[in-house]
Amino acid sequence: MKMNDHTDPIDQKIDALLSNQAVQPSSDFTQRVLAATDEISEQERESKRTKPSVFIRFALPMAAALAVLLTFVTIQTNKEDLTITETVENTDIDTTDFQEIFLLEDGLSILAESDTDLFESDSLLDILNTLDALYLEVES
Amino acid sequence: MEAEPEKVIEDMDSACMRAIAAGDRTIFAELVERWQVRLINFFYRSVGNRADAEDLAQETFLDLYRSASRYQARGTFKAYIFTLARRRLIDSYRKSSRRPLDFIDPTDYVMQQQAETENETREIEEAFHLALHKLPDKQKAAILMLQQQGLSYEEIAEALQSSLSAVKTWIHRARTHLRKELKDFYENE
Repeated sequence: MKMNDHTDPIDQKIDALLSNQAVQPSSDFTQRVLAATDEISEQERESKRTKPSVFIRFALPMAAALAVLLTFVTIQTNKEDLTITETVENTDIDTTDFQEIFLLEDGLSILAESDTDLFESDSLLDILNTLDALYLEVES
Repeated sequence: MEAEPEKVIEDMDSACMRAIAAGDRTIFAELVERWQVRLINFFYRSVGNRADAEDLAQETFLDLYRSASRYQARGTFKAYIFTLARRRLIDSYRKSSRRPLDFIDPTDYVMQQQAETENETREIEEAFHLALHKLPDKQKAAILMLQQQGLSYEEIAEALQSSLSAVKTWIHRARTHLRKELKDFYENE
């Protein structure tokens, strides 16, 4: 497809100017390009070499998350241990308590066996003490 | 109009791309030597500045180097390299839109003037230079690819990612504009 008249001086001049490739590259142009490609190659090698750093980048948050999880689990376990210990401590009855229970039981059995002369018996004071002890026990 | 069967052309430079992908530095250096004048002149006419033209040519060669492993010879190598050049040019237009228009490098003109001694010729050169820069981007790229680089219309269409008819229209409009701008120099004769 021809759109220009080659006999026309303007067209001839335009053709000449357009096809002119007067600018010559600098003498070190090729060397500069090659040096730049070396940099690219080096960067690519470097990025391949440092790929494990990706794992490190993810490893840190993962380790933190794991630490949080472990702490949480430990706290939960301690809580459960604490509850069990507390329960055991609550049911743990020492010798003094046993003696007291026996005494109360003894007092109550006397009370149960007592008849109309209750207030005349010598053990009235003991009964009062027993009731007092029971009252205190209920309160505590 | 008959549709042309898709041609797979394996030209010399396309073959070089395989060697470059395999890491052949010497072949790449040869390819740079072969294409540097054409690319630099294409960019020089596009941006009007020698230093920028060399930078853009260098970036285009680096793009070529990076894409060597992915390169497939679907069309001609010429169309491929000017597709990359065109992308670089668009990128530079985007960047330069943020700075004042300064496309005439005085040192370039001094160099050109060594060959062109007559005042009138210099004036025509300058007028042509300015007229070319006034052209819309695609018109300028199309006419340079055709007249300066010798690409076919099909190759230009491929490089500019447009239709054949659009390319013909751009070239026609570009030439009309350039004729109009240079007309005054020839009317006085």
